[in-house]
Amino acid sequence: MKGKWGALFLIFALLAFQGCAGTTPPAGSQRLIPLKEANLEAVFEQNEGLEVTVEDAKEVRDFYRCGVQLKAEAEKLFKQKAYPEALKFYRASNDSLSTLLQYIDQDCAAYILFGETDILFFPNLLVADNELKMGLILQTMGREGSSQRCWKRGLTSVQKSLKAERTEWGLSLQEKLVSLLPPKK
Amino acid sequence: MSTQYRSKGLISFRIDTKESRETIMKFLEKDPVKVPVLLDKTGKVTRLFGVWAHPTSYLIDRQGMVRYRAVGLVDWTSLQATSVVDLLLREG
Repeated sequence: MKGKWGALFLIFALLAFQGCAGTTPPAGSQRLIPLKEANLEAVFEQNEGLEVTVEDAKEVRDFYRCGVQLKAEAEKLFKQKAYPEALKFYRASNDSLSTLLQYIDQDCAAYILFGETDILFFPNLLVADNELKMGLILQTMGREGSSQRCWKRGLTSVQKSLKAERTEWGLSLQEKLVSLLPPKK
Repeated sequence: MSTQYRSKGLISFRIDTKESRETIMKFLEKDPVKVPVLLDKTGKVTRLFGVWAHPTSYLIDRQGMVRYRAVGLVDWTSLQATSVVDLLLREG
């Protein structure tokens, strides 16, 4: 401290007061949730801020935040057409989300954290979107078989999501994935 | 702990989420604390920290890095808690 006792070096923030721990998501309603309510940008916005790395993730919800943040990075790289780098982030995002899905496997448009605070909770849909993008990247690399496998996995995830929550986002993703896969005979 | 470590450079505060000043004042009348209470009226701070349970405590080092997080009540007088704070205070 070198005598500068007044200097503000260490901050100890205590987020205290009443509240309750997060609760499990309620069963999904059958209302069609419009895209303006549930979309990728909104999910990113809710998870921006303090970065959670996979190494630091301890609680299941940390894996969600981490998976979303990795996906946000992947999306940036995808837009820049930095495909090999984007692929790494999509994979890392899916790894993190897959860990979470072992414990909480249901998507929910209003996952209650505490009090009246809820978030968009769409791990299955995010995995599906990651699979879609990874498939597109692998296709540009000439790896048709791998891309088809990605899209098949993506379709399974999006169907899981739609079972819990009917979203325009999910339906449009499902449509895209179906159009990319060969028609069933 | 706040009083004990203040002279060593520890700054502590509480952040209250989405509650009115009146509610907090009433609470503080019953349970007075010397730690400043900051108001997070819109819940933005809570969102940016990714808080999903109350209370959640964070220890932030001199470089502004979040080094420790504790979800749930913490006994800040315990050996475990004080040793972590001591460790961070010793860092340059």
